[in-house]
Amino acid sequence: MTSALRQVVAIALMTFLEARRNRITMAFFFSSLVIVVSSFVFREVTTTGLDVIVRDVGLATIHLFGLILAVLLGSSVLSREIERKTLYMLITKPVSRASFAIGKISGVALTLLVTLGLMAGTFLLQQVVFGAPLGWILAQTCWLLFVQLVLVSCFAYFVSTFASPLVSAFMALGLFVVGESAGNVWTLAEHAESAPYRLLLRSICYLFPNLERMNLKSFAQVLRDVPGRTVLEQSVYGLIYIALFVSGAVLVFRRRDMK
Amino acid sequence: MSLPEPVVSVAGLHKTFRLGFLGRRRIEALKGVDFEVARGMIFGFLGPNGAGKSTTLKILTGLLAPSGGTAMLFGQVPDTQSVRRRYGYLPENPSFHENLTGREILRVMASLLGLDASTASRRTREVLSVAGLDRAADVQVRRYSKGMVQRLGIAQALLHDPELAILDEPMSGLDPVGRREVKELMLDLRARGRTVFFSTHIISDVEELCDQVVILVGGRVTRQGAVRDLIGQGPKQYEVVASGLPTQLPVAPARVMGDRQAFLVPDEEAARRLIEQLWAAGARVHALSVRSYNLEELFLSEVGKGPVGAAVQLD
Ligand SMILES: Nc1ncnc2c1ncn2[C@@H]1O[C@H](COP(=O)(O)OP(=O)(O)OP(=O)(O)O)[C@@H](O)[C@H]1O
Ligand SMILES: [Mg+2]
Repeated sequence: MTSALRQVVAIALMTFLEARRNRITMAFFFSSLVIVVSSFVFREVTTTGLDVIVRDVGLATIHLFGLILAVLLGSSVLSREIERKTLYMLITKPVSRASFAIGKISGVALTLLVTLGLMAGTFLLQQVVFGAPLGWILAQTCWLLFVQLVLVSCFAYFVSTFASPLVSAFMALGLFVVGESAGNVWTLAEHAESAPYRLLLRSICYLFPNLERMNLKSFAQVLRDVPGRTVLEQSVYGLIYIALFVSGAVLVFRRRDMK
Repeated sequence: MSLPEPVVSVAGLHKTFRLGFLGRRRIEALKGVDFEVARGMIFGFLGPNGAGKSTTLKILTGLLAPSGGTAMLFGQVPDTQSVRRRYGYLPENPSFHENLTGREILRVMASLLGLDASTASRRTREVLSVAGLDRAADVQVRRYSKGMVQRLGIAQALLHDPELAILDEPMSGLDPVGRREVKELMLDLRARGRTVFFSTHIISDVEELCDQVVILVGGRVTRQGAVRDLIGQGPKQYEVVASGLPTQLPVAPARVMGDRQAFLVPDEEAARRLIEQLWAAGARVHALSVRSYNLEELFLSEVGKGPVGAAVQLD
């Protein structure tokens, strides 16, 4: 391992450990597990399409809790370091600010990976235990949700290098909402009456990442597999945005005065 | 023969903070600071609150960019990784990730410093013991007392046994035993050829430890030099302490301590005359002492000259 990579790993692991020992993160994580597990109660009250509903609730829980965690961690992980001055003793070590910034967000991605992994694992286990039909699409959906949430988290992180954590969190939620309704925005643009309005809506479509296509929950609901190629394409698409946001964060962070 | 290169050199250093909407309010924290720290000494950076000590140290460690002038470490710009390997920095009021233990934090720092595994664990053990944290090493930092956090800060600054220790108020928050330990640590560093550059507003620490001192007031250096020279510069005074005095006094006492009164006179001859007068008046003389002008008086007179802290200006 090169020394820079070693430093990135050290910072990422530290960030992960810090998140793992954080009581709020943990309380949050366990409550999501409880909801995922208890979603089988719907089997008792519904008679038709029961598996569909249970799958829906499970995946929606994973998505929602994952989103909150992604936004919370992404927007606060660097601002907290700056605000509490814990980074004074870290960035005055022989580590570049780029390695530091990449290490922090990698720690967040690792936290999301482990958290979503455990939630998805619990969900799949619950499906097996209750004898619900399984399909590859469930794993595919969880993976792309993870990529989508890392993207949102990286955006919050980028904004937090120059704005307050609260502003960053709201901006990231905004990105999520617009990105998830990309299809609707596009349709609106098609039917727009005035030219400037159409232009505005179209530019939104081009500027914002299309998060809707990373969301395979509707396929998972009916257990319809999607081609592996689509999953790969969407992963690469997400990764490009992730790289873009992280580069932006590095650029701003490198120039910043640590007051 | 050329002089050895200074370890720290600061020339014409300026720093202006911009605050408020569009940076309309300005605080001039440093207004042209110059000084040099030679290798192998304990160098004190003395100044009242808000003088700009921490600001200078943050520029030296690359946390802040200067608004003007230069700050160099080992003759290089401070913001490079090769320079960072050569110093250790303790910020004022250090703070750590609360959910990690002291040992975990030092382990992360050791990886950042590029220490190999065996050096890292040996040095971690050593600095924990030097800082008196052996027993608290595996406790999460949120359970540390203020002094323990300060000790961990010192431990991490010395983890790689750097050539230069830049310490921002190293004794702050420590009890008398801790202060003594840190002082001995600094003397030990000097004895091993290391350079210590520390800020403080405690004058006796400077008198006790430092070879050289810079006095910073309101963002400007007002005095600098060898501590011995600075102390020797001022006038000496003779102090006579007496009791049982008649109401008619030859001179007004400088201070009164219970039934005793102390008189200050400028030279030995005046002291002798005063004592004779006191004896003649039936008073008892308890002590005659020579007071050299000390750093405290020098410091107070320097502080008295300039405004404390930096003034806020509007564009
Ligand atoms: N982040 C900042 N934003 C605005 N002004 C600042 C900032 N940091 C310091 N200052 C100002 O710069 C001046 C010098 O501050 P500095 O912290 O360097 O003083 P100091 O000598 O370390 O004081 P102390 O002994 O209290 O630690 C002060 O007037 C302070 O208000
Ligand atoms: Mg200070």
